[in-house]
Amino acid sequence: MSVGYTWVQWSRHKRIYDGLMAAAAAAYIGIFFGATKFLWTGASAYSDEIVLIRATGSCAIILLHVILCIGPLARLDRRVLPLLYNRRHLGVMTFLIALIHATVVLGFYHGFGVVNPFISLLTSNTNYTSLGAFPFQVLGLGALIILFLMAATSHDFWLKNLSAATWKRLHMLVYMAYALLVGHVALGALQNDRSIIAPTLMFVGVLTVTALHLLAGMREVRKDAGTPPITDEDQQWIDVGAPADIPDDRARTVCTPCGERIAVFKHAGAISAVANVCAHQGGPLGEGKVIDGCITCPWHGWQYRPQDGRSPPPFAEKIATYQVRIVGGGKGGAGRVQVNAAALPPGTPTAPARIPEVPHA
Amino acid sequence: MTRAHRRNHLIAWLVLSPAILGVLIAALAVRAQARSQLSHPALNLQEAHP
Repeated sequence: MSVGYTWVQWSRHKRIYDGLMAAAAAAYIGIFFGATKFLWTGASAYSDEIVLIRATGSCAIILLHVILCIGPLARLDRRVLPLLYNRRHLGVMTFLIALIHATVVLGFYHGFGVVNPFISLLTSNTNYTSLGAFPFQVLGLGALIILFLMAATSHDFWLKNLSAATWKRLHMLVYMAYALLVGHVALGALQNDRSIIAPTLMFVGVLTVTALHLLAGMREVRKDAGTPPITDEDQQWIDVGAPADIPDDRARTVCTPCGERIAVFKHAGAISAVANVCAHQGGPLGEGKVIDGCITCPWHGWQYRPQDGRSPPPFAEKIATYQVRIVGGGKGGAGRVQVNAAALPPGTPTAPARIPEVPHA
Repeated sequence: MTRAHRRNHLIAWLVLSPAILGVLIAALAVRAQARSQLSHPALNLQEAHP
């Protein structure tokens, strides 16, 4: 969280994850290299540089597909959330593999002339009006610049200094990088590839990524449309449901008339409400749970106290809180939970609403 | 995510999806056209030297 600065924020969990991912990428590149050398021999053999270019390029594009699937999958299925926790490390690894790919391309195809390799890359092919001979390497360079910007600003130091909103906007450029890379592969490698396997895989990959993002986006729109009714005349109190409808140490999320979401938690026999947006990266707090008395974000584990929306010391983050009340209780019923739609300033203490005990019949 | 973020994500994919798929399909069509021309060498020779 906000205290201290370390180069790479590794925990034991992340070391294992990064180790496995690096081993998997190395194994893929090694197998690709070995299989190509084994299957294409003699006159049809490929040089080491070309095999390395193809191995690293395909590895990077596969990893980017995986990264882009994690976000929408995590919104559609909670079991994917642990992958989201480590997504930034995977992104940096993708950039490093893409950088190796670009370096070998630059050296092999543009490094032997008298012209500067970068100038050569930008000027050797200017057929921008031809799809079949399009200068696809320029698209790859554009994507690599975006991936570099993202990798360079991936640390929480930048997240804090740029602000979560700006950082998020910057990192949404990954979608543009993906579009450029699809163009790079489709107008480059696929034009020279004779088999049907690579185009099919690319098509399936693009369909999967786009369909998942659209599905997850539509689902969120439907959630927003299901705003619970405002319960009173001054348009302030939103009905959340009966206390029993909220699972212990978990939340039910409701939407305010202006479209923002409130996470209403039940913990230790009381109800409290906070903004659904984590101060770190905007994670959905309502999908998290209460651990050690603190609301814990499902994305990266940032924590807030339910009663005041503040992170436990020594951390200093805070989020908006909301007033909660339980109405209509007594006479055998536990009443209805209602939350005030007006957000209190971040970190404002609010008394949790105690759930009335229902006498057994 | 805030409502604005959710909306921006959806708009981005509503715009990018057809663009990405369009580029991919166009590239594959060009590739298929090039392959079919290669598979008819006699026709190509005629076209090249009428």
